Amino acid sequence: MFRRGNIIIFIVNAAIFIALEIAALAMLRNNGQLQNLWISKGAHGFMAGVWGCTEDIRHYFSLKKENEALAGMVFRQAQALRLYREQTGRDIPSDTTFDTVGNFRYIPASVSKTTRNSQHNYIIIDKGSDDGVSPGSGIITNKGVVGIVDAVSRNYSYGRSFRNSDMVISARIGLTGTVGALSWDGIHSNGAVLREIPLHIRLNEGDTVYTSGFSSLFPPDIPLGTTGEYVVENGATYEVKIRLFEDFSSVRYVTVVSNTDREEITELENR
Amino acid sequence: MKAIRNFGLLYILLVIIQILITNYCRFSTLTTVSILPVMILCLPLSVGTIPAMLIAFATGLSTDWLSEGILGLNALALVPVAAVRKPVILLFLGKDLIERQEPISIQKNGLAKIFGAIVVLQAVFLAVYIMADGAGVRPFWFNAARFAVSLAAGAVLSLIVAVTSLVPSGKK
Repeated sequence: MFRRGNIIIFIVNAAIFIALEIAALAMLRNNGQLQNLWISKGAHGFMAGVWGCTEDIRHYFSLKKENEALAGMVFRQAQALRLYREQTGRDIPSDTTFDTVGNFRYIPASVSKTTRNSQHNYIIIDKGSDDGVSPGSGIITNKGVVGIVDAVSRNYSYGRSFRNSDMVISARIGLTGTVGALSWDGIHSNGAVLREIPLHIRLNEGDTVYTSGFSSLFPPDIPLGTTGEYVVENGATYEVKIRLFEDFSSVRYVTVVSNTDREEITELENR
Repeated sequence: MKAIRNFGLLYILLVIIQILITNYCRFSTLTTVSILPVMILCLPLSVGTIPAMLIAFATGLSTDWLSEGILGLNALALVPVAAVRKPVILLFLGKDLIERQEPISIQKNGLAKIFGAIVVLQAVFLAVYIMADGAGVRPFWFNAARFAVSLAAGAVLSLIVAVTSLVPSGKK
């Protein structure tokens, strides 16, 4: 049985041991090039481990909310299927593959890491080139756009988050409305700004904003958010505040979307 | 008091010997000869773990500074030796020695037990030293061979240091 005094001595010993080792490592890092890389690698590995652990705990406690959202989504899908059966009088053929719809191929993925507190946030997902993900693919959820894939390894992909000050996507007000440039407002986690809306357009607060489909990155008609207040910018266009549907702090599951005709479109653009 | 002063002088002398070994006695890339772990083992038992760790850090740092090594390498490897010194003494030489704070004696404790303690402390030192020195770029077989050769050489040299520097039984 440990006595209280022994525990305190043990803690003090451990603290001084750690402090001296850190001091020695710091000196080693400053004086040896190889050691610098080795210690940096070790420190990053340690941080990734700690970060991954805290992220897992956070996800565990959000499972109830996640399950409710999934149950809602499954119900909506089942309803859509029933509607399809009723309207067409036939079932979906059993050999139908669901990964490609129209010109877009959809790949489900989980978020391995994401940053939230920077002006240049990024996201890492657990699908890579082996799963068919390529740079330039979009990352979406059923609540909006999450980001764009910038680089891929065999099993992981690195993408720029929508919460990035230099990321702009093409968005439309309503399903048939005016198209503008949507970007993160740089302040709020669910705030965005829609620019380049002509002054003659009548705007109503609460209108839903969708992806326009005018880029080869994202399919059209993904709901992104709702319109809020708007102001005239430079006397030429409206700048509309958008409340995004996506809660970036709890994104766990995403879908990678790749345009199957993207290479052809890019080739045409480069001519 | 006189014994402590004498030990202090002996300790400084051993540090100088270690610096000379590091600078001039390079047998091969596989051999790292160090008497620093045995110096920590031979510290009086009245010196607690925290002072021993601080002494180890200062010793390692001065050795690094005055020899052609990377600053911090010996300090990094020697602090764990000081941290495990008392448990190792407890394991090999018994609880009585620590409780009575008697000096370690070859005659009283036996050469085999002291050699066992030296080997363990030398192994702790070399494990950290070789890992940090290799910085993950050297192959495992090289590190393992370096560890084995250095442990054999260092343990023998450390035993000689222990035999010559430890207080004989009955003398203070």
